Amino acid sequence: MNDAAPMRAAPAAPPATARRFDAFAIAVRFQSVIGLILVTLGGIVFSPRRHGHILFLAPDNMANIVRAVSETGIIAVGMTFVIITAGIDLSVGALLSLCSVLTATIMTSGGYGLAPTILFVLACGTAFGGAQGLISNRFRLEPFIVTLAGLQVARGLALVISGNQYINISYGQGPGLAPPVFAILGDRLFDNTVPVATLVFVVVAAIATFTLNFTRFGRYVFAVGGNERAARLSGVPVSLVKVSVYAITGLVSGIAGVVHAGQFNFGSANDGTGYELTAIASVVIGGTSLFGGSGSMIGTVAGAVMLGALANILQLNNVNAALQLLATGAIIVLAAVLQSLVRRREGLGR
Amino acid sequence: MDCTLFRRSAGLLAGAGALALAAGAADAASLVKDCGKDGKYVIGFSQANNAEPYRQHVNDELTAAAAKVPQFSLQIADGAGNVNTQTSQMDNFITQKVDLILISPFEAAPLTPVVARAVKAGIPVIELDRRSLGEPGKDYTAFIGGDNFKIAQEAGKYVAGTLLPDGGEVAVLEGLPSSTPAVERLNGFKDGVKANAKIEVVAEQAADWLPDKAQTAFAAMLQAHPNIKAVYASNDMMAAGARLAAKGAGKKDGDIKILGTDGLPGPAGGIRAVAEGEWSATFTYPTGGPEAIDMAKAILIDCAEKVPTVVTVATTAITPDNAKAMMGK
Amino acid sequence: MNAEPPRPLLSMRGVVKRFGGVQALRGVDFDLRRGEIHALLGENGAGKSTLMNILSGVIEPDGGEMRIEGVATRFSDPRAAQAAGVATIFQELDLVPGLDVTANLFLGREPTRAGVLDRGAMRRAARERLAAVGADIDVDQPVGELSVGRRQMVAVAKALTYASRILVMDEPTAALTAAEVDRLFGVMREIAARGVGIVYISHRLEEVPRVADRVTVLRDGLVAGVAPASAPQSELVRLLVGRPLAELYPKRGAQAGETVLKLERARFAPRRGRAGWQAPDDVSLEVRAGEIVGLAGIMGAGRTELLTALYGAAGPGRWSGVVQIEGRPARLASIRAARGDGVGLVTDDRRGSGLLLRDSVGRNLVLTVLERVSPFFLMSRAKESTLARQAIQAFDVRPPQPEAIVGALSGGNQQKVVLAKEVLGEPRLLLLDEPTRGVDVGAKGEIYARIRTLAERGLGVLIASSEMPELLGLCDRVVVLRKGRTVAEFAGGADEHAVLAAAEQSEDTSP
Repeated sequence: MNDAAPMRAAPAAPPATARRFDAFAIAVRFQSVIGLILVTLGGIVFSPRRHGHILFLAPDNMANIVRAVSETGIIAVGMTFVIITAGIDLSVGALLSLCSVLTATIMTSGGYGLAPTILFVLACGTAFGGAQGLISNRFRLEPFIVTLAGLQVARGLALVISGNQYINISYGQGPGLAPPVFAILGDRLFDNTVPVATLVFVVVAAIATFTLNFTRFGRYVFAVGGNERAARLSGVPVSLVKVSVYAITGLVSGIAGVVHAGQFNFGSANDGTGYELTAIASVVIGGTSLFGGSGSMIGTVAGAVMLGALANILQLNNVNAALQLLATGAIIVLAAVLQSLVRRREGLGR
Repeated sequence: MDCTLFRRSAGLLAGAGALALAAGAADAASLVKDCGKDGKYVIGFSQANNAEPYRQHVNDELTAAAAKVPQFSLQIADGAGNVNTQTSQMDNFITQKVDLILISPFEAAPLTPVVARAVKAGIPVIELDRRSLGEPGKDYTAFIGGDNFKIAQEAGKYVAGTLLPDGGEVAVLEGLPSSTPAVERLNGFKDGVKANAKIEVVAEQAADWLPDKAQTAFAAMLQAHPNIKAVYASNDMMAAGARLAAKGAGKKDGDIKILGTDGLPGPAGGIRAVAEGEWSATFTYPTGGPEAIDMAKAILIDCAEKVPTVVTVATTAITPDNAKAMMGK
Repeated sequence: MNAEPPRPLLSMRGVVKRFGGVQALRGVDFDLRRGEIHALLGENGAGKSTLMNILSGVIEPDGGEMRIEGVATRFSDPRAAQAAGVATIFQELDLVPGLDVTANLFLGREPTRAGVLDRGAMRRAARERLAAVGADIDVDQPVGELSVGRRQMVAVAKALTYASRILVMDEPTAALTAAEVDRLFGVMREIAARGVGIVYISHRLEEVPRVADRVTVLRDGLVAGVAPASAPQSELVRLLVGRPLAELYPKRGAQAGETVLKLERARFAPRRGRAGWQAPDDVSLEVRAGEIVGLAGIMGAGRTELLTALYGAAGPGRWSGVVQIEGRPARLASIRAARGDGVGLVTDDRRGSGLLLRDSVGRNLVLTVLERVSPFFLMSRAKESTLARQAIQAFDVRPPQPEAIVGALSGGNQQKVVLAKEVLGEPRLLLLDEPTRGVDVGAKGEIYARIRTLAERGLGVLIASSEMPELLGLCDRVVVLRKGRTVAEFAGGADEHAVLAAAEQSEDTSP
């Protein structure tokens, strides 16, 4: 901020077209919902059938899809906050792994009780994420670098704590055994239909949607991502917001780690690899801009489910892995291109 | 190049000296000059990547076997999944003039030159589990390892003959598609089940060795093919994921025959899962650790003039019959 | 320049360009003679930039023809235009800050000897080129370390390396000091005397008669008129706006009330000094309720720095001397503290630090009052919408919908949103930095009127501006700042030259 700041005049505004193109902007805003509908239609068309029934639409297949995306979905929901502030968090997959190892280790090493164990793990995840936010903010480091380092640290801690073994969780009463109720995370409720992991995802997503859209904090998040300097000058506690969003990704990684340990009955330093990329892909497909300032939580959820549905339909047809990667890559590019078209239409650069 | 197949049980720690070393011609010189009963020997092991639990298991078996030989001290260097790191660690071993080198190269081609450097420096190099390029017996001393194709073929034969003699639909969960073991295990299993014409492999999906991906993939397979009677998982962790998918589809343990590979010990490993009836079988992937120490003994202590250049260590089928007994070991 | 050649150097006839649904140019004629400086005026969106982008090959026209020295021409890209001797100096100077002056001058057309960069030849040629525009600049200095004025000179020198026939300059004086503007005009006249035709785009009407020969005014994609540069300013304004502009500046207010801001020998010591950041150093001034006080000074005098420091936004540091807000000592240690003391700031860079461009007008407006519209941390849509609508009405923001995306508004309306946003925060002292930068003449008048209304309602207003007529026309008093010090004070309406003299005086004699 000084007199030498080069002057930038606003480019000519096209008010006449602003309204005409709104339908396009709205379509892009909810691109992942539309994408989900398209993938679902594709699923119906290409689904194998048995006795005339469409397998893709079978209730337990739907349950399989939403279960499969629950862990990355939980993370993507938290990642949405970070990306709206124009940040990124690469540590989430490793942090999930660390939290699953912590859960398994504590569960099997002493009678600390279920609730205290889970709360402790979630606190660890939150503290880890918050620390990354603090470091990035205090020393003005790119979140990309800080969380890349965080990824290594979390993975390293997980390896040390687990002694590089899968930490098995055995259930029962007594020392070294976890409370049997914890295994519910791998179960399905309501007549064996609804996966519990999915319920956790739904609850996390609902809370996040509310926070982003109906609280002051949510508005702060948009403001920081939309224009950090403007937000600071308007009295928004920018540093606090920036630290908080990383604490949120830490928290959701912790939740996903607990769910992971509960679903698979072990903690492992090797799991969660690449989850950060799936989560980021879900967020981007969901219409949140990596430039920050705009985004939608519903879009993220739809983006995550869409990726799961796509993988499912390909797997139902026994399509090989290479094609699955190609399809996912193509969708990410498509989502990014649509975003870029909107930006260019708004005259806000490429 | 001769190929000697050693049959060993997975109770690998018995240092029974079963390694029958071919005694060479009387006039041949021993492989290393400074050998004999009274020496002290440093063995360097260049591991590909400690972060994989299987590799940790290799380290453990190797350490245990080496501890039984008072003349040996074992140094393990972790290549951390990085060929550069592993190369410089190998160079360190050469500089230190260790007496023998064991290596599991992370990748074949990039580590071939440093193996050659070690051999040129007069250090015997035994490759464990993974090979570099070049010819055993010439470019390096010997290769010891399992045969992924044969192990999976055993699993296929077990399904064809014992588990599903009346045939049925079968699925395969493949490892990371770009890795050699994944391809070998997939092909080996498919070859093994050919023994029974009534068996049909209806689905094969890559799950990258990971339990969560295996769960998702097998859930979809069960949707598309509800009559699947058995699933072969190319490692134990994917078998664990497959079981969760079967549970999610309302199946009880035993409804679907689950087969793992690796037969890792410990509470999260496949031996326990078979013992407790969760899976039908798992097939050990032998580490070759004890065999490697036996060969090191032959070279360094017994002054062998010749050792077999390729040692394939056979798999052991862990079934409900022997699982409980194996767990104690 | 009386010898009129038979055909013009450049002749554009019936040029048409459409962007999506917007008709940017509806058939524009434009002539440029050899050796002529031709000013091109127009409000934002009138089509100046589109026309010049066509001339410089950045975009291609949909219709119409362009002839250079009688030859029909069409440029497919900027390189083609450069090859034809047409050079453009864009507003955002296309210089690479990290490279030195020499490298920038020859970027993309480096002389080589046997495939190797000929550094020596480049540096010699660079010195010659800079000397030709009368600039004394170290050719080895990275461009990023130069002042804006010097960068402008480098850009001119660069453009002249291939501007054999036509030179287009887009608002070249926007960031220059008066002395630098004089020097630039001198250079422009020399270039023109060599036979080069210059198209000069500017917002500053008062500069037109000083440098140009002729003026073409664009409005809504059409030519509103062509006039000699000596035409009276009121006539140009009428052409620009399309109607006579009654009075740009509102009448001055009646009487001032209590003192809102009092600075006496005030000084701000930043904990970490920054190069080029002129900290307030011995500032004495008063702003009273109902009063608009102007802050004049050349670039680098520390106007923005003073406002920033008063707003607690200058980073860690301490105020010393007398700093009082409404009679009470104020520390102004952070933005939140300053806001708590009733201070509000409108920055000079509304796109960079004033607005969330991709967000809606409504959500921008309530940014300063989020606490008020979110009891118990939950957003109250009703309160939010009420406040936003009131503000939109009070400042006549067009379009009047809170849902409109701010980035799509015109510069003037964006400026109104920034101002309204700050006013919603109910400050008692309002600091305005360049409040009409990049705003059309028509919208300027509206903004002046609103600022005066705010003062009449009892706000104290402190305005920093580099446009002297604006300060003298709008303000009740003007304080002159030089090197972070207040050096003079004038009543509103004072003589421009006297104020300028105070601002620039002794610039060279100080240590």
